[in-house]
Amino acid sequence: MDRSSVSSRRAFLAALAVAPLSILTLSGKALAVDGQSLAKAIPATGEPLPVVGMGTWITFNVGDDPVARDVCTDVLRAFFAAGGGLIDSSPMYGSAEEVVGSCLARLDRPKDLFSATKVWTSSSAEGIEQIASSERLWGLPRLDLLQVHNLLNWQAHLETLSAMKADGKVRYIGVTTSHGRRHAELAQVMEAQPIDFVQLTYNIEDREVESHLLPLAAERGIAVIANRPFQGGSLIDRVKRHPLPGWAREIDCADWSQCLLKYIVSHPAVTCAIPATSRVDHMEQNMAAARGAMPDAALRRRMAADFAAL
Amino acid sequence: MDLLSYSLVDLIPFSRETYFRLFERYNVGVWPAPIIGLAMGLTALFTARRADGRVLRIPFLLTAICWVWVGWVFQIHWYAPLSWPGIYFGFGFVLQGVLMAVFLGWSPLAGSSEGASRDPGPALWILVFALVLQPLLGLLSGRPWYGLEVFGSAPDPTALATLGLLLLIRHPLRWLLAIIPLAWCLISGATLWVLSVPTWPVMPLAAALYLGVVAWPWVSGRSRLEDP
Repeated sequence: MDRSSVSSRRAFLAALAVAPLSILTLSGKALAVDGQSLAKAIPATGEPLPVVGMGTWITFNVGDDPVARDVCTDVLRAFFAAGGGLIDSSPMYGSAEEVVGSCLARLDRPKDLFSATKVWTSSSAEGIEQIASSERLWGLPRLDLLQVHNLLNWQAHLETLSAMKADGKVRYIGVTTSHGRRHAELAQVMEAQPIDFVQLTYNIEDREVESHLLPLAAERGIAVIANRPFQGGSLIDRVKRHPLPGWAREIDCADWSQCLLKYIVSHPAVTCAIPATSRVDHMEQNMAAARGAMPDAALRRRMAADFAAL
Repeated sequence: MDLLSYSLVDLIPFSRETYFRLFERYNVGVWPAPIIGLAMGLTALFTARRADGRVLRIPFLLTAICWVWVGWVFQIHWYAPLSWPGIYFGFGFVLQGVLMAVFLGWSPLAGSSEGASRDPGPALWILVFALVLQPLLGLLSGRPWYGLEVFGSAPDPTALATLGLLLLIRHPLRWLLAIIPLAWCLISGATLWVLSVPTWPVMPLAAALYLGVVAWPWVSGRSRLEDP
């Protein structure tokens, strides 16, 4: 690790921390620094988005359970208190959208929310109804980002979403995939369709997207949301018995989850990672990954190599 | 929907804690239905066979009612909000209840000693396990007593007890009526496996036991002599 590159970047960020919402250019990428939390610009508009967001798969699908909903509200409160913005959900996630909406209402709808959900149906007509249902469940008149879930009937849904965007009924549109599925088709969509966001699986082990999809996103000016940053928890399980490497301290990581998240969000093409958790302490740990020094390209290579050797 | 692009994990979008809490909330929410269901199950057990060897209609009708309840109330109204396949499971359970009522509840077959299996032992053991032991397995997983899954209101013991009942008859219809309970044994086992519940093999093993008992006469070449 080139210590000088870390310390100089830390000094650089620290100097900018005194200027709230400063926009700067770092290694060719637009970054926004708000205090100590890192945000990246959405390529389509330049709007800053905190680099650590939140997923809701499994963790927010708790149904009507009042005890679990209290916990979810606490998790969301910690998320926004730490500078969080993007929350991602889907009609596929059972009651997650309804629970998110309920928690947001209890938190008086935080102004920093960047709402992202999906359309997930093979019917284009049902898709329109599903979007209306999502707006109702979230309790929002307009969602920030609508994505076609897992490329399901993307041709028809992207027509709908594009029309909605033109009418000002949604701010951004995109497509998603996960678990490394259908990457060839995803690349075709990214090359040919006017989308603002793409969501895909990217973490320190699942790195196939580094070779083509991430460079393509950078080239096309498409924001990237990285899902499964911990591979559903299995990456944490794999590394937690090992002590943190020496370089973890140099990039201000107090635990493995922060190392794994910093690896993802430090990629120049990645806009945001969306770990999911049902615990407040884990949320606080995740959000800390948006602060402090970030690894440069050389350290990222070393992180991947060290992880592979574990 | 492109179902082939989804894995088993994609179809279970909840945690083990949420799943266990579901039964706690459900049992409290529909109380005293779990007690009524259990009473119906015990009635089915004690009326399953008369001393003269006939299989009575009562256990099949009681169990049919339980399938409809579990499908309509548990699967569709409680489980489906957490997982979309619950809707299909619900309709499957209701269908099973209707089929059991039509084919066995009102059929002369059920009241005839002609259609009765000669050895009710395995059937009664499965019934006892489903009604008494299987619910208690939940305690081993640290679940509270009010979150236990019991016959008549929860799907697993209801499906398992049904397989026991079906072993009491010899008619070919039992193959048709075993399809949904056997499928549920696999679905439940897969769900619990994904959720890392240690008791996940119970339902698949029960299904295998049922198939083994039914197939044994053919395997042993005694199908013309007796049928379990």
